[in-house]
Amino acid sequence: MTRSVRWVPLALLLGACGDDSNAPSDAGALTDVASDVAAETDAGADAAACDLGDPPTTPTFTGAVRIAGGDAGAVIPTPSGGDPEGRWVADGATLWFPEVARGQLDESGSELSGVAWGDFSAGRYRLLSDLVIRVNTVMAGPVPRPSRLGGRGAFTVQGERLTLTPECTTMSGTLGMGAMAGPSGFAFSRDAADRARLFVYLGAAPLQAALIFDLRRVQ
Amino acid sequence: MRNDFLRAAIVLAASTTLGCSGDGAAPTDPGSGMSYPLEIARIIEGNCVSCHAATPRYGAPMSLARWDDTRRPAASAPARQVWNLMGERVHDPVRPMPPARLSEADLATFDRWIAAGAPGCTGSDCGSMTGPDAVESPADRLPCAPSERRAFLAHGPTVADRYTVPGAAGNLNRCFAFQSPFRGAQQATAFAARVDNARVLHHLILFSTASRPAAGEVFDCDGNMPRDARFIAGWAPGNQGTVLPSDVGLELPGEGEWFILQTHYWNNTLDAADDASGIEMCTTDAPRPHTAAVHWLGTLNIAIPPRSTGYETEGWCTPAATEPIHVLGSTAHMHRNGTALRSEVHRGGSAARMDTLTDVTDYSFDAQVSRPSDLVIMPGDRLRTVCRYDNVSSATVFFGERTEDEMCFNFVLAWPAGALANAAGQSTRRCIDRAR
Repeated sequence: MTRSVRWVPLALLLGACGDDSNAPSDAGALTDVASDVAAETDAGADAAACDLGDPPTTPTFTGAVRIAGGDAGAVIPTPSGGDPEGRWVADGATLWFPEVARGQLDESGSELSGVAWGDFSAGRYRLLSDLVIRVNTVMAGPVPRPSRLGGRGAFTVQGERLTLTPECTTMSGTLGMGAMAGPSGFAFSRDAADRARLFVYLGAAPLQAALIFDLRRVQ
Repeated sequence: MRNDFLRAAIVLAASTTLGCSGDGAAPTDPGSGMSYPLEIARIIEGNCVSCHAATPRYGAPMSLARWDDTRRPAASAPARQVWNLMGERVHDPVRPMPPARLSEADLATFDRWIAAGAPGCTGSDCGSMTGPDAVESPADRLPCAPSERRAFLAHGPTVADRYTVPGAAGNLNRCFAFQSPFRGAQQATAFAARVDNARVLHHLILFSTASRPAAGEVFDCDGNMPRDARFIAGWAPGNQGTVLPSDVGLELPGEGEWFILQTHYWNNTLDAADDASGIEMCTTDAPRPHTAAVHWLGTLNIAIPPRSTGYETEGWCTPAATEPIHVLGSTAHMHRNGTALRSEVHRGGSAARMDTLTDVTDYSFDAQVSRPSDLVIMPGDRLRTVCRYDNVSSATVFFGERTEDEMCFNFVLAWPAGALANAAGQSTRRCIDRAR
């Protein structure tokens, strides 16, 4: 799940909002969207062949968009590792942008909503996330984006790092205003017997963002 | 001169009546000997054959010039005849034909004809459609000599070649980049389209950009447009071009900057087509007192729920202007789900004192007409643009470039250039506030 999966390309929003030339242009902005769409089409073919099996009952949650730094000195949480074994549903999530995004995005007016679940069992995983992420950009105002990503395959754990080796993936949605960016890594925190967090990293430092799911064990 | 402007379209203007008197269809079909009944001929000539000509234009899939054309298999549903679909499209809530919709009286007449099986006519009361089949180029009417014009035209490997649209290309967005021949002082005083191959040309947009496009000088527009692209001019069927008031010129890219001509073709035949359409303009080396630009209002905050009617989204604009902004015209732009767009000017930021900049209550993607205006926006005013949609699909529709995605933009031609932009959009001529 590292090469072929292009998760929410919100790294793109860092790039997309990184200078004055990134506001939407009709056909211009549009082109970025179009490139996302092309990728989406490819993933669509994956989707037909990637059966994830029965999903658990998943609650719809809303989550926040945060930016590191600022007056409060907010920092992106770090994973602590632990055993991911179990079936999990997300009841919250936070999308963290690095400090460099400050001035380009507003936490206020930004949010995400949707559903997500994961199943880790005997070295095998299934994951699905179906979100709408709305980022309030300085240049172009609020931009909502759908993002649906799933996959199944094998996984290994080393410390806090989670390595996913996908057998298939599914992805759809026009995902953003810029170059597609896939997850650059995954990590896990087992915070309690029935609580955990899944970390999905996007892009590379200093532009790396993190999408952190709050998970509740259901089985 | 203002009257000239009032008659002119600005961008992507379309008219369903262009060429309606200019179709060369024979009054009767040599195959059946039937023609349209008189009243139906009048309706079709006045609303349809500008595109559905004997040789279809602007991507229209078939001719409606003769009654026999209505008995052929429909391109989109070969098991049905064209007249069956005609009866449906005139009532289509999302993609009506004609795009500006028939009047109630004509619709009633048309419905009766369809209900009767769309019969042909052989008597003395039959209608006929006459006139030349030629397609005029709006550029032919530019108020400057051809030798004084600048042209940005689709082309092949060299600018002397015509661009070849492959057979069965379907939708094709092809971009052509040109280094700006201007050095910074020039302005455009008028611009209009050169329509070369009307059979495949769907619409044109001319942009400017600060540097040579990374994708080269002839490229696929999709995914390759620079993000700093500024809208200069556009054309869609019906647009007659723009002649600016005598004291106003349109800003142009200067030395080192580039033009990009974006051409949207639609070729649903197996035959390739050569084309050299584009935008031509009159310019002046002696700048006029006022420099205008096309500015953008609206929002990308679009997420239209499935099976929704009358869904609205809004975008705010807080101009950073310190002087009055003189509006010349505006053009609403949405996609197929759009039904209405309104831009309000809240004087001094107050909804209690409101003027209307644009109010399109019967929006059609296929008839994006410009609306002239002489409104003046004052420092301290805020603008609110509201877009309304119907989404008959089972999926949420978001902002995007594809026809099935949506947009909510109001292109506003105004001077001084850049004044109708917020603090973040000064260089791009955009005024789309972040949420507060």
